[in-house]
Amino acid sequence: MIFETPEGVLAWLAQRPTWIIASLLFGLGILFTLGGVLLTNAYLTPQRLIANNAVASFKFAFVAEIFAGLMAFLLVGAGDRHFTANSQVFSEVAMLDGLRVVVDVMPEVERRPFEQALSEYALAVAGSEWESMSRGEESPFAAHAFEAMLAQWFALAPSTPQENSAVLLGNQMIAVAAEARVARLNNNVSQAVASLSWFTLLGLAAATIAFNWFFGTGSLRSQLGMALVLSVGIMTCTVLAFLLSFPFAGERAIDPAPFMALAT
Amino acid sequence: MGGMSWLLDLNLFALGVLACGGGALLFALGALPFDGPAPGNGGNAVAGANLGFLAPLAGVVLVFVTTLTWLQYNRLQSATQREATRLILLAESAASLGEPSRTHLFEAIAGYARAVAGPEWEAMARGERSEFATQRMGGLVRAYAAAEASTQREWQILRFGSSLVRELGSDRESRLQAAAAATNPALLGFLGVTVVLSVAQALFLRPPTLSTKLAMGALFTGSMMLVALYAFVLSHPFAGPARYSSAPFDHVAQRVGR
Repeated sequence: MIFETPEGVLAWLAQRPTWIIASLLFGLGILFTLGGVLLTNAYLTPQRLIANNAVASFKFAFVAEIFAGLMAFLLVGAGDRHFTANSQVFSEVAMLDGLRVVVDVMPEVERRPFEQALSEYALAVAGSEWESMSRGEESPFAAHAFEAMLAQWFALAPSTPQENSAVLLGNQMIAVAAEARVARLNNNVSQAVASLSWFTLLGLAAATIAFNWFFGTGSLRSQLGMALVLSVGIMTCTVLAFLLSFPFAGERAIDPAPFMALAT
Repeated sequence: MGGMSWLLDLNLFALGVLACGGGALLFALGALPFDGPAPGNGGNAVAGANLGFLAPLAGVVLVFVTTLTWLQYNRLQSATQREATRLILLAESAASLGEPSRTHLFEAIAGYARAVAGPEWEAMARGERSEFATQRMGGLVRAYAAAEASTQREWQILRFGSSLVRELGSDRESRLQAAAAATNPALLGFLGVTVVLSVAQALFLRPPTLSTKLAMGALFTGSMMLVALYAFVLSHPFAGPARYSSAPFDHVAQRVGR
């Protein structure tokens, strides 16, 4: 079941619409912040909390810097992955499309099995692999289709100088396509590492928010207001990092249309 | 770090609880006998100013170490997958060759893939390389050097295979270097010193009650321990929650062996 592991929860959440992700993260963050402030104010007098302000603010400032550093690291990484993933998809498609052009010099009976295998691979990527990548995995079906396409390519038997040249060029293109495929799959970070990153980031966000519980202002309303602004700020960055972290999931997923076009 | 390897048998949640709980306990053990200067005599202002100086320094160290461990982990992952993909290309291209070259190349490819997935994977966990895998790599090079082509197409395939074997050697070195760097304990030691110094400085802050000191200390230590845990797990790519599997090489060995 998806909720049995942190990876399953992350994969489930990544496939929801943006408004659900934002509502959930903002809602939980605000609830955690305001609930904590109300709880400490119920158990400790404002005077005791106010006397605590100096120490709490020093520690709060320290943890906030650590949180900001980690958030910057994850945001830059997620943004880079998202924008690189798109260009990797187009590189792979361009090489496969080039192979189709190159193989055109071969007689139809020679090239037909390869063209068929190429279409099947493109379909497998656009269908099964896109769905697997949304969970951070490779599709065994697409991997098998890729190997079948390679087998068909190497089974080609050129018989004229022109066909020989075409196959020599094609060998280089198929090697680049294989590298682009690996880069696309690598870009989609493994689930274990993604859940580790989110476990750390959410833990630090919770610690940063929780330091606010130890502040006192004499006015509960203004303290709640300040805590609300803080949690919205933290959650805005968290939601943005989350949306960028899963380039193949949900309604923001990169479009598999180039592979679909290759399959037809 | 070898003595801490049992930690990696725990799942992520248990590791987090242990790191944060253990950190909080250590803070409490330090805070109970040492209460810091009394409030009102300027102790908090001095300790706070010192902590304010340490904050950006600790932030830079933590982000530096986590970024480096993350990059090394990713380098290892991409070098491994690139190498396995080249082996698949070699296997598929060798399938189109005639006998006896095809059988010799298949044996050499499967032998190398098995050597990487077996002894070399164990050696990499210690930051080392396997002599057996090096010999198998030599065997693969020799097999390609000795392969014979009887048609123009076979000659092309061998030429393509030779360039892949050359790149394979370079991929293997990248993988071994990334494995050695990822398992280097010096970075974690550096991170540990930063965490200890920051927590020690925080012990000098004295809030009005011991309960708030312990609660805030637990939060403070716990958040530092979380980042340290992140770097610790990522710097162990062959064990624990971020374990990287040798499956790509097992797959190649099975594919060629069938």
